[in-house]
Amino acid sequence: MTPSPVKLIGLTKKFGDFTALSSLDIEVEKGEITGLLGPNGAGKTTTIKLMTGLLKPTSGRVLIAGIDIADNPVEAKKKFALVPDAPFIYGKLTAWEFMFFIARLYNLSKDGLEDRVVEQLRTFNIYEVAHDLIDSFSHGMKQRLILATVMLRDPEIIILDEPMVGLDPEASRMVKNIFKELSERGKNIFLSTHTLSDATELCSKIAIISSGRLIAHGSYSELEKISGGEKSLEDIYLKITRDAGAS
Amino acid sequence: MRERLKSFFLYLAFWLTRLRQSFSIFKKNKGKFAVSISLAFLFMALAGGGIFQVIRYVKEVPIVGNSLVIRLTGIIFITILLLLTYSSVITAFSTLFFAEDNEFIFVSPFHPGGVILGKLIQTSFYASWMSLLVLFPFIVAMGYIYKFPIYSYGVFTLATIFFFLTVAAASMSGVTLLVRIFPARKMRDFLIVGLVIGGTLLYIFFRILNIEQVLRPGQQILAAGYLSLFALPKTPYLPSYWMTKLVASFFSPGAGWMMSFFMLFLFALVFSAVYYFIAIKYFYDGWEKVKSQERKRYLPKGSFPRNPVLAKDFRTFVRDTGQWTQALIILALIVIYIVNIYKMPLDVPYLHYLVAYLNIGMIGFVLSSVGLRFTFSSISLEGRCFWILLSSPLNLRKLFRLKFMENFVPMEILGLTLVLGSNYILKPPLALNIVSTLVVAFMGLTLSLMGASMGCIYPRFDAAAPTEIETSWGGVLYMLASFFYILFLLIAIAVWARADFLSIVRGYGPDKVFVFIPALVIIVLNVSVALISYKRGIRALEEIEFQV
Repeated sequence: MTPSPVKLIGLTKKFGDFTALSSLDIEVEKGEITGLLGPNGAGKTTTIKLMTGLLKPTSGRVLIAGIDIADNPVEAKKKFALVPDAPFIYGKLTAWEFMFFIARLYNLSKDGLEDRVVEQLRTFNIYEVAHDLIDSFSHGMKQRLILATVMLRDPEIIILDEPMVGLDPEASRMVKNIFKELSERGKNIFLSTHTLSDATELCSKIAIISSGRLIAHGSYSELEKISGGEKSLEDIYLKITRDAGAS
Repeated sequence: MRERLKSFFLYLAFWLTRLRQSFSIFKKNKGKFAVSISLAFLFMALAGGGIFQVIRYVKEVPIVGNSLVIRLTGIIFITILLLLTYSSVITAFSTLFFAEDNEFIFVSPFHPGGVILGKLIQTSFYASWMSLLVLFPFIVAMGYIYKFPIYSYGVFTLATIFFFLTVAAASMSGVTLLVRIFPARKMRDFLIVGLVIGGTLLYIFFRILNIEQVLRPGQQILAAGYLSLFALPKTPYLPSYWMTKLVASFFSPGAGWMMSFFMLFLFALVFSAVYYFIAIKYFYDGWEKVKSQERKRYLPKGSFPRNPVLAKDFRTFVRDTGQWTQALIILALIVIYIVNIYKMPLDVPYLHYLVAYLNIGMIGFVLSSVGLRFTFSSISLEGRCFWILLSSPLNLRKLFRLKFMENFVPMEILGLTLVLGSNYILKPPLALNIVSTLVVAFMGLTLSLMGASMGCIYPRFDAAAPTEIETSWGGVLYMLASFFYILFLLIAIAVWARADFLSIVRGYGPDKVFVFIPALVIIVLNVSVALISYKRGIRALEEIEFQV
């Protein structure tokens, strides 16, 4: 049986006395686009940092394609690509150099590499500035460059933290179409977002967290039932988070 | 006017809040605060002691003692003026044109006049606080020797503030005008390179004048002649002239301090006003120009090398002015070091031996300073981009070894150049030559490993500049650890060196105990420190959490 692309088991993270995440259990099925929703400070970024090895869990496990990231980080990290919320990338490299840097870092095949780099730079509209220092790029351009490296690698799992922030409407539309296409090809996408319309449009499963706890997880129709029949995702989200806050 | 003042105080409050936040680490950890304060006091006590000895020595010169002290004071103030100008010019680029808060300031309801004056205080503070570490012990030593009246300390403090403001305002005016004509970044780089090279040449010139000859016992007359060599600019157009006059007035009978104090006040007022009018006219345009100068192209030269992290670090180093200008400063220090050894008065054979021995320790301290800047900082310099490496399948052991090797190789070359160069000049006996070379080679390895390791234990990914990493708590600990490591090493070598020197005098070889035991201690010390650093460093890197 193929292991689940992402499985979080009892994931807990404490910073001193503060519990940022408490016993989070999420399992993502193959080919799904899973959206992680929650109010500010709910623990979305912490979850993504734990999933990608940027933070170490206080307890619990993260399995990436069946590999425990704590036991075998190198193999687990080969399986996914991360797009963080703030696109910090080496400002003293050019976009062209950064693409090759990533290609070398992930040991990508050299066959036709240059053509693939050009193709991705063109797709994300950065080919014209490929030899400029990244320092001169805007937030959106950096975000697009990171997405271009993700597409260059073509990993099994893509983990994104607020991927639409900083993108213009045209780029945002293009990225959404790419995500849908990737999902159809059996790739797995896990994203955190504040934008409920993006989640409605893209995600096949939604996990809602509040104050570091998972309060709902399921498909749109399953969440509709949990919320007591609310129709729009906005109403469902507000109902569930308010109920969780009240309890 | 009211709006200007309101914005001025608001800007100061905004800046002071950010400044206070950077010291908040001390609130949480009283131990760190105590160590930092103790180190600052220790430095000032040592500086004060040294200044006290020199002033007392010069004062003793018959007949012209006091005149020579005034001349010495002049030399101190003209030197501080030069250093302050250098520091203010470099700081002015950062506070005026590269400041991160500019965008926020321009969209907020701040009056530009208030911001401009606020930036003058800010620049003045950043550029001059270091000189207080010398000026404070200087005035205390002078006051103690000449029994200054109590009020003189208050007058001196206010005058010093005027002095700092004058230099900062003049530098900021110059920078604002230069940015109108030349590209800001290139101008700053050009000034840094020019000033480092100029400073080094100036130092070599002073060393050629053989200052050490006049500081020997019984050579006060020579000291008088030497000090008279300095044709100080006696122009009243420089604030350093009035600072010298002010200090002299505290111990010269009949001389009043009020004229000097008033002149310094006038200097500050006039230069601040000139700066204000220049900045109000050109600051915003200059900042806009800087923002639009960012685009820089590098066409690919061949494929990206096999080791991507090494290639990335190399390109970043070459393209980041902030990094290679520091390397240039280190290069200048090496030149100064070798010139110092060359100009040392070594007319007794014993001195050759002693200096060659002490040279090992000096090289150790040079290496630990270089290690602090480059090896210790190497992981932290990844900054907010560290997520790229940490989320990649890069083996963190390999990353540690790579960061270590990147710095170890240049550090080893630097250490060996210094020891072989200075031994060539000093011509110590063969045994000491070999021992010092081997020990320096060991030190390069151990200090690099210590730096890489402690850099992983105390990373500062949020640092805005390399200096923030160096002055962090981890940086202080690295310097302390290096100090004790070098001290232990010197003690072990001293046991052997003493026996070796006596054997040269007596004409037969040293007792084997004095050879084997120190050798064993040196090997055990290096191997254990290196191994512990290596293991601890890898563990820290594997456990690192990226919370930025």
